[in-house]
Amino acid sequence: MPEKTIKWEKLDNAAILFPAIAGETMTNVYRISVTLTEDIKEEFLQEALNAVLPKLPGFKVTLKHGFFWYYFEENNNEPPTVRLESNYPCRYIDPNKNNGYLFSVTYFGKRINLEVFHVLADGVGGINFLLELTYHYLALVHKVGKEKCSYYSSNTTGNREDSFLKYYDPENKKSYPSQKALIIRGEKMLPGELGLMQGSMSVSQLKTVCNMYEVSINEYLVSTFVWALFHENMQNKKPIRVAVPVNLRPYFPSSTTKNFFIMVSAEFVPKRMDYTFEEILGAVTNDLRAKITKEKLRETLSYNVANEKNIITKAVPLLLKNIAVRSIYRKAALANTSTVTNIGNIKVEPEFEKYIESFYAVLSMSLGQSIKGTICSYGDKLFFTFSSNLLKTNIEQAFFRQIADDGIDVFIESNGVYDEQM
Amino acid sequence: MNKCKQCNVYITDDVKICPLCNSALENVSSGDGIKKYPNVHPKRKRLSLFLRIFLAASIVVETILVTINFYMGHETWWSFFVGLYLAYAYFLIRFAIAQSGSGRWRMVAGTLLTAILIIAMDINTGYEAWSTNYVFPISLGLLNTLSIILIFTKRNQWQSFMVVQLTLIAITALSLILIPLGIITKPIVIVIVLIYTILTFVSTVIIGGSKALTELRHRFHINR
Repeated sequence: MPEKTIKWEKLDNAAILFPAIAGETMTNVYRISVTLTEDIKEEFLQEALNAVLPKLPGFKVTLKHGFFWYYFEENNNEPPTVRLESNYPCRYIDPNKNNGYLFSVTYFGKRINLEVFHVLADGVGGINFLLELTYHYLALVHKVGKEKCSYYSSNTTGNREDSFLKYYDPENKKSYPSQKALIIRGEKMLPGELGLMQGSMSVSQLKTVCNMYEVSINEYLVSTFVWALFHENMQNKKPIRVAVPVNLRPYFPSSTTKNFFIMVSAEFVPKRMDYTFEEILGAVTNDLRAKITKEKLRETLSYNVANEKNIITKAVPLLLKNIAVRSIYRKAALANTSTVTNIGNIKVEPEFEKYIESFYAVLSMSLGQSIKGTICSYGDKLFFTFSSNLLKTNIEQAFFRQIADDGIDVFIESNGVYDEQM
Repeated sequence: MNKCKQCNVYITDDVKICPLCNSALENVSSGDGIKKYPNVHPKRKRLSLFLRIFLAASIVVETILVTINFYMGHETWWSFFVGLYLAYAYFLIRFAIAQSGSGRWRMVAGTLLTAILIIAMDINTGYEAWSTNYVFPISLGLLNTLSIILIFTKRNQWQSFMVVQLTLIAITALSLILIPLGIITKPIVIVIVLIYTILTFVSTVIIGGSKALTELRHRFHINR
């Protein structure tokens, strides 16, 4: 009988960075959680994971060191064990203690958490996985769905194309800003700790306010974050830059479950101390609108791919490449004050809607960025989740106060870290 | 649910103080008592505390010993050995409780650390090169033997040990530079170990057949 060939694949352009810089202190792990209307049953969740994983080849892999590049290899080990959540969010996923897998599934009360090492997929890929897992779990528990005990959504794809390479234009490339941005400093939590401060609000109330300002929800929330950063650091005249990962799929048709996003920096350069919220909202919105165009996105995409395709880069051994990548990353990371990612409005299959209460996402900390935000909505409920390793919560306070001052009801919830510090 | 009048937001947690501004909440009502997040008191925190206590105690002990060594006559710096052992113990504990890194690489790092300790002892006793002539190459040879054992015992991931073998060949080959520098004075052992590591790797590739070649193709990113 012929030996079964182990499948392998290269990392996509965005993923190349993550293994080089990831570690205990900068995990590059993100979390997407779904809260159901009932407590989670561990045995059903494990059964659902075991059934779903083979359908999602992009997650059924392990990361290996090549001599020139990292690469994925098919992982035929047992799926990782579903566990009760017992640690801070977005901890480092050690493949050696996780059957070689680069994601983990935990639960707590009514919540299922999927934590993914960013090398595997972006938020779209993560949501795809979490939805499949949730559908399958609910189908097992409630005997609903097409098969009454299993469920595979027709929207699910196993596409593993590197879309960066498909849309790369070697003649049309432009680099990122590298000038140092405002860096938020302050007393920090112990290594590994992460505080969550979540504000949930009504999407319809938000839309009313955004219509009044003539901006989108994303522009409003990013601008409010920039305003909060400015408000708490008025004396500092360094540019405030918030990196906004842009999902490229709407601009460049792709159904890949790999990473397919680039970073755009929403920039505000303060010159005085008395800006109003409206002034900052206008400046940030204009900046975002100028940068998020198909042509501008293609320029940045092409710049990223050009570096990967460079013949010298290709020939350098991985060990040296990692050193260079870390050095370049250090420079690029300090050019942004923070990151806000928008997962968007999550839609679920109609038969499962009544079992699902909400979704939220969490980003881990990275070099120079001690506070980050994620936007995620489901139905009429939007979560803005701050993750931070700073002990003070003054930026979160300024952010949510501004939203509340605009007439939106804000409901605050934390993961208890801030109560422990008091 | 409570409202913070300072922040003008509702607080859904079961707390008496606003997590945003630390103001006391008025009309505190008790929540549903259901915890939404776990209480994280990780074992890691205790291990980290233990390590810090060990480090502090080691520094105190070493300082006392160096002082005693100095005043009691310092023909031999025995306190230096104690310091080395303490540093060695500290790093070994760190390796043992490290959350990251594979067992393979911790094994290589642990062995190299031991070799460095022994070389330092040799230097401290007048450097007769016994550490570089024998202990260092034998350590590499033992690691190579261990890789063979692990290939048979961990059969589902035997290919990964080929990388350890290649690394050992590279370290042993690079160590040959120490011969003209006079650091290795009797090169016979290091040469034998180099031959041993190369033969082990070649044998692994031959016995491993197509799987071994596939592993190497993957590692070198060669598409076929």
